[in-house]
Amino acid sequence: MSKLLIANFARIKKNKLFYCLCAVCAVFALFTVINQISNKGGVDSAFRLFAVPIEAAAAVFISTFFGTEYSDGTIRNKLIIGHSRYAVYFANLITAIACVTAMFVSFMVPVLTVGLPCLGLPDAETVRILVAGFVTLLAFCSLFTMISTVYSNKAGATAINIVLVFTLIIAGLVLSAYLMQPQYHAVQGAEGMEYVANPHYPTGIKRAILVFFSNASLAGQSVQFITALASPLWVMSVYSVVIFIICAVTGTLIFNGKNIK
Amino acid sequence: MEYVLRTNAVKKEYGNYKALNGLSMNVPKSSIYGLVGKNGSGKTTLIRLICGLQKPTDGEIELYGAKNGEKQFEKARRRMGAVVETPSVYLEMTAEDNLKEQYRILGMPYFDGITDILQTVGLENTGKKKAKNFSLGMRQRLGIAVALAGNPDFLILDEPINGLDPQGIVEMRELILKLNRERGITVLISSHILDELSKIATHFGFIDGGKIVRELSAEDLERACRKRIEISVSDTKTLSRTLDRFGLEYAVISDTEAEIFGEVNVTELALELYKNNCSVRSICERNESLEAFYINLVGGKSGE
Repeated sequence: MSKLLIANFARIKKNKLFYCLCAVCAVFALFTVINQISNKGGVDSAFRLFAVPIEAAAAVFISTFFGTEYSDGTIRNKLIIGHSRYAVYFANLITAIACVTAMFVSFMVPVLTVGLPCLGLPDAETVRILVAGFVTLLAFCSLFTMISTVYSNKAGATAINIVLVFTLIIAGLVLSAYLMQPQYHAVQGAEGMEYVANPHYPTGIKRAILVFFSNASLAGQSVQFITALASPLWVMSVYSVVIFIICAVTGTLIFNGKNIK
Repeated sequence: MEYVLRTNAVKKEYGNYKALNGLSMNVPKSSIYGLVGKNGSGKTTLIRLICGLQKPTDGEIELYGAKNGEKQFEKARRRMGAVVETPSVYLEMTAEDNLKEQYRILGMPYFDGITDILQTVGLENTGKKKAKNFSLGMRQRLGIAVALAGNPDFLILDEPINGLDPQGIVEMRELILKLNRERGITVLISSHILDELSKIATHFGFIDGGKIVRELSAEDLERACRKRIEISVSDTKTLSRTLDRFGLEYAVISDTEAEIFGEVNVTELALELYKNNCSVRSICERNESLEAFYINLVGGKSGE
């Protein structure tokens, strides 16, 4: 597997798309910091926006990078000379993790170099969110790697990953909006301000189910990092680890039995 | 005889469709083995199985004495290179970078030999040109260069002359002969163009309906396609003595049948046999071209 990793990293070194996407993450971070500076906000808000741009960049890069192996047929070169399917798959997964880590670092560099001196240090909760968020990104890596390795059409895999990530983000935003509704509305009553129960506020089992989907959905977690919903970070990380493992195992099994043309 | 590749009753099914239906073949060491078959006969499917891209539904594949499923089988793969259907090259990379990438995949610590390989395939002057800007012939040759990166002694080429112009076909033929003669590389080439294969192959396997219908050497094929007379007589011993007196080359097939090669005076032969109490039951002249031989072999079925 080390040979496959060396080969993958050598390809990434020459990959212009990779550097572009890292630059996009860095520029996004810089804009976020500048926005916080001009609005006299805090560095925490700049940090917490990391997940969404990196997820989108990862969706594009992972599907394009591994999709090229199918479109150019070069995945055959690895299998013909005797590399096992497991080695090929896990080398791809490790490569994807390394790339996303690089994008994460690209995002953090402007925030740390410009944001910290101008906006001060982040609070402890933000640092914990960064750690939990990185675990979420790893789960996304596993998901995108599974889709890109199992589906042999490069354009198709790219489309699926991009649509998936944005669908999940939108779903996460809708869920968050629903969950963040106030339990009581203030209304003008006959004797002054009165508090009336919000009929749309989810309670009981319904709320539990929505909280589960918000925590279990990877993009739902990303939205929670921004909106600072109340779910414990360790719960979200456990979900992320489970999704990582499920995608890795499923992807490996499907790829192992796949007929390569 | 030592064999590089042997298959025994290999089957491959896709749902209800049988692409290979009990295929058995033997590729001798240092040969150029031509796998001939029409479109859809199973050539590429067989090559995919040999290369490990797909798993057989049933049957055995033996590579350098190691059977599929054994640990040594994957190690034996290290001795082979292949170009399956289309050349497997990174289009965004140059020829040299493609070879360097293959060297890394193979785990080779140095890039020695890349220049030699590029010279062998005639791509030493491509410089910084990316593979996406190569002609089809150049990409085919780059595909072969990538397959040669690990110094294989067994090379599999799936329809290497498809889409090439006449000059490209000549260059490809010369390259294959060079690899076989100068480096002793065993080559398995699949094609549906028998004429082209007949110029270089030392052995042939004719595939139809997912099976090898005939396996023979180039000498046997040439003999099979020669002009000859097929004769049926009452006693081939008498026929043999008569033909020996006439100085004619012949082959006895059974107690009553034989083939006579070369020019035959049928009247003289019949009279001589009659004098020696040997009756002639039938005489038939055959003069098969390679295409006719092939079509007769596969039963003259129309392509699918």
